[in-house]
Amino acid sequence: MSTRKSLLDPASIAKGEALGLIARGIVEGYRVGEHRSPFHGFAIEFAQHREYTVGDDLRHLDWKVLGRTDRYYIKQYEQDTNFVAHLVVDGSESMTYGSDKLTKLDYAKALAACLAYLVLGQSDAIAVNIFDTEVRDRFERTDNQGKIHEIMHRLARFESKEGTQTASVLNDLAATLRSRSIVILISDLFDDEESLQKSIERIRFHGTEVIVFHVLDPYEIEFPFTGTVKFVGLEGGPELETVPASIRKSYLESFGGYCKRMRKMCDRSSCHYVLCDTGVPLDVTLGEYLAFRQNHLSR
Amino acid sequence: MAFLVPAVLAGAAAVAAPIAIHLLNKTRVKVVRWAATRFLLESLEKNQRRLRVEDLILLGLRCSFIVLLALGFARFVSNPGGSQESANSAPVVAVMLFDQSASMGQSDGFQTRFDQAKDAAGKLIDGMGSGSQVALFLIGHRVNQVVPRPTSNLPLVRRSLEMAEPTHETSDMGAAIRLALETLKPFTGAKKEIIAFSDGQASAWQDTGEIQKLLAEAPDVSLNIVDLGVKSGEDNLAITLLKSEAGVLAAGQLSGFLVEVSNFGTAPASGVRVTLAVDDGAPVDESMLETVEPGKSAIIRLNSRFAKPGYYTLRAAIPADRMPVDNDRAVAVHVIDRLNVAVVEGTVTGSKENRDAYFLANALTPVATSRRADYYLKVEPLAPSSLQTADLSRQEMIFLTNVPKLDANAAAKLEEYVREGGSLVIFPGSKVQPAAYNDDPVLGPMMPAKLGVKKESGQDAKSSAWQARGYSHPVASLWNDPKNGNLGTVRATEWFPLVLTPDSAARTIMKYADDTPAVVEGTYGKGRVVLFSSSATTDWNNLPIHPNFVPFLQRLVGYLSAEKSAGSLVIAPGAVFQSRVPGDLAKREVSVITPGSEGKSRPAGKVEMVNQDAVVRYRETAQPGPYRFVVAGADKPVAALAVQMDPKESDLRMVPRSDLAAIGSGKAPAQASPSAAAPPTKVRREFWSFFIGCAILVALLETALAHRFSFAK
Repeated sequence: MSTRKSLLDPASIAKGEALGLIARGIVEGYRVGEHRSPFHGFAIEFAQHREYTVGDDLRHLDWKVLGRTDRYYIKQYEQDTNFVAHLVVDGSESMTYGSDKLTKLDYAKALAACLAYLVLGQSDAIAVNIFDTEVRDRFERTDNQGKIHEIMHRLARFESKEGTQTASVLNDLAATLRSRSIVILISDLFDDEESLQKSIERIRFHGTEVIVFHVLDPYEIEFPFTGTVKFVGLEGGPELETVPASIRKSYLESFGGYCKRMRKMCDRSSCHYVLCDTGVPLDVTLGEYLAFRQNHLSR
Repeated sequence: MAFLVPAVLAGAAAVAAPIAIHLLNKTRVKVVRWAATRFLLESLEKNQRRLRVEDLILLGLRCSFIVLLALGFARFVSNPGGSQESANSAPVVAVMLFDQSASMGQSDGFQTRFDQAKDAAGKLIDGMGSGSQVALFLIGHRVNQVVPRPTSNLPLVRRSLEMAEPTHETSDMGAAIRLALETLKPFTGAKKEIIAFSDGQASAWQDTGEIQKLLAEAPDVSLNIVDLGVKSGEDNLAITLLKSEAGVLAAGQLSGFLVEVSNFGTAPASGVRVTLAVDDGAPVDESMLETVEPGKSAIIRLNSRFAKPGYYTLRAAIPADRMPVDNDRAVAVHVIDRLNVAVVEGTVTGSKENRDAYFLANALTPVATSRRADYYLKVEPLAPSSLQTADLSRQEMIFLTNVPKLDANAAAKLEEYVREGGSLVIFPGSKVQPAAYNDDPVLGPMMPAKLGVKKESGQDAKSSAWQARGYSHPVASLWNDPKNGNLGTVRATEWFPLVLTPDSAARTIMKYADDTPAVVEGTYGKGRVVLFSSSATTDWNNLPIHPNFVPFLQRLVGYLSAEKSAGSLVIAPGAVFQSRVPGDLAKREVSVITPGSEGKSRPAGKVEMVNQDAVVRYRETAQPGPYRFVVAGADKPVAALAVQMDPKESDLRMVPRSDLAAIGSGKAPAQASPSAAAPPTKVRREFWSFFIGCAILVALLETALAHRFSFAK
């Protein structure tokens, strides 16, 4: 694991080829022994039967079996690969924080690269949006696997400059969603909580699945600073000089509450919430989530 | 209020340390570009006030801890005594003089005077103003400058004081005050004081006039004599003398010892039991003194018999009183087996009564003819002509009586004998030609005095008698007590005046009434020569038939024998003891049995070689009493000594208060004494333990709060 983590070298992530290799390495490692797509949802290929239970959609009842055997069976389907995954990557200035050399943005780029590689690898379509106050770099929908290198380059060369307006970006995206798709938000979510919730609900209203990868640095989670520290706010925040040890407990309470609210918000909107600690190797975080998703969707 | 160790207050500057650390931490700020500012801001807004209060509390506690430590170690004392306080808190430069004499060891049953003095000095030091400097002198037979120069390190003075003990020496406060004035001379500005802690014993304050004169020359120095509460001289009964009565102590002979008991009190002492013990044994003799009048002494004779020759110690004792140190007194003696004396006489013919050595030989062996074989002193008559062939090394001493002249060989042999440690006693006579002695190249230098032109009593009858009083020499001192007879009745009809050279080291044993020497002694090489001015027969004087001739001669023999055998076996406290021992003991380990050791010995070094003589040397003689030196394997001591305290110390009479008041600043002792210093010491309180306790509490509180705050945050 630690070897994988060390692969997330900021210098490598800044180069398209290297980012591609990192993503490929992680994804191929995950794929070993796997035969099914973790992204189920819009079934058009029959998979299996199971007995009908109260509450099942009658549209999926197999009438032919009912006619022949007088038994109620529901048809289950494998997901079609023709979905569009919209990667929405937060490229705001707050994402440039990293207690180590690895910033949250580096981590987000690597995660996005992995997901792009994974989606294109199963012949689905991908669209990439990198935003701060607005979408700064957009890679239009494509299912061409040959475009993967260009996606990697685009991700790698992005540099943050501005603050965050996640809600408005998601609102804009919601307006452009035409078919069923998956929106994958990769962000530290340092934005107005209420408007963020509304934006996610708006996307969900269109029936689009939303997955939130909440990227946080371990220092933001644990706040282990010693001595006197002057905190210079990214995205134009105030300068705060304090002895962090003296307010650690209070900070952890405040920050922990925020993380809980984010998780609840996602739960309320039936989104998947994934906390990405940049201190934990990416393959672990991604692997755990994909395994969870596969199990969750197969039930 | 005051500080006993004000220098430590500088340590309070360390209070700046926590503040500096606090400020330093402020300057050593790490800058972090931070994303989650919102949550940080929330926490800060919620906690800022509390944090500031907590920081101030912790800072205050840390500063308090350092200040309390500094106050504690600076030994803060308070004195709510108002003006008294301000007067006492002025810094002084003082020399403390401590009378360390034996009388300071006198106890009231609870504390000795020395302990009282130490308590008073401790309180006085505690009461001194900050910046005061103190030196400490302990006064025995010499001034021991324990803290030689005034120092502000008062704990050092206190420690030195606590370690001091009274000695068994005499003290001279005048000499100490002179030294103290010299010590204070370089100091200017501060108030200068000499503080004397003494029981006011008269013997220590003999030079009051001289002290007044010295203090008059140093008007900026005040002398404060601490009153230890001794109202008057305590009654004290002491043994002030113990010595052998006879000159020579021999094995098997009954030996007498004189014990003098002095009453220094104001009431007669009656029924005083006096005992005499040998070594560590039980008393061998005792007697009862019916009455000793106040201010008087009584001498009693106690006897002992020594079975074998060798060194012995004897201890005379009287019942205990408040000053125990002088209730016993020891003496060391050397008991000989036999003493060989050669008598060389000029006249060997005629009837035995007319021979020159007749009276001499009888006086040397004053026992019946039948018992002479058992007597320790053996007399061997020698003719002058046989001197050169005789074995002189066997002889303890040689008497020459009326020997007209010695040939060169005999003179040379005699010279060698004396030079090597022998004793020679010369009685002139009618056959003696002064020039034969005075001008002889060998005998001349040995003579302690020249023989003058013969005189006869007809010319000056008065001057022919021996002195009747004022005997200073040990041989004659017995007759200072009239009860022992009178040597003033010894009269010479003819004699050779003894002429002392101006640079002569000769010592007069006896004088004539006209103050001219009658008997003198001198040293030559390792030996001694005693020269009488008149004959040993009745031709020229009545000495041979005088009742005191035998004791005089015996004492002379004893004196010469003791001087030859071992030197002085009685020394003063603190003096160095040195005694010759047989040469085969050289380099051997020596152990000493000291007073109060109950017969247990401890190492005392090795037998040293000094000028080819084997010598036992011992320095730790502060304690009065008997000391015996033994060598492993030997069945008896190889040397012994007795340390005797000066009898003056037993006299506890006080200097009159008026005299003390007249000394120095003219203040009455009561004003300058710690009895005066006592009131402030009573109200003065030391708070060092309080401050140290508070510092510990503050440290614990700080630790607990810091722990709690860090968790609370």
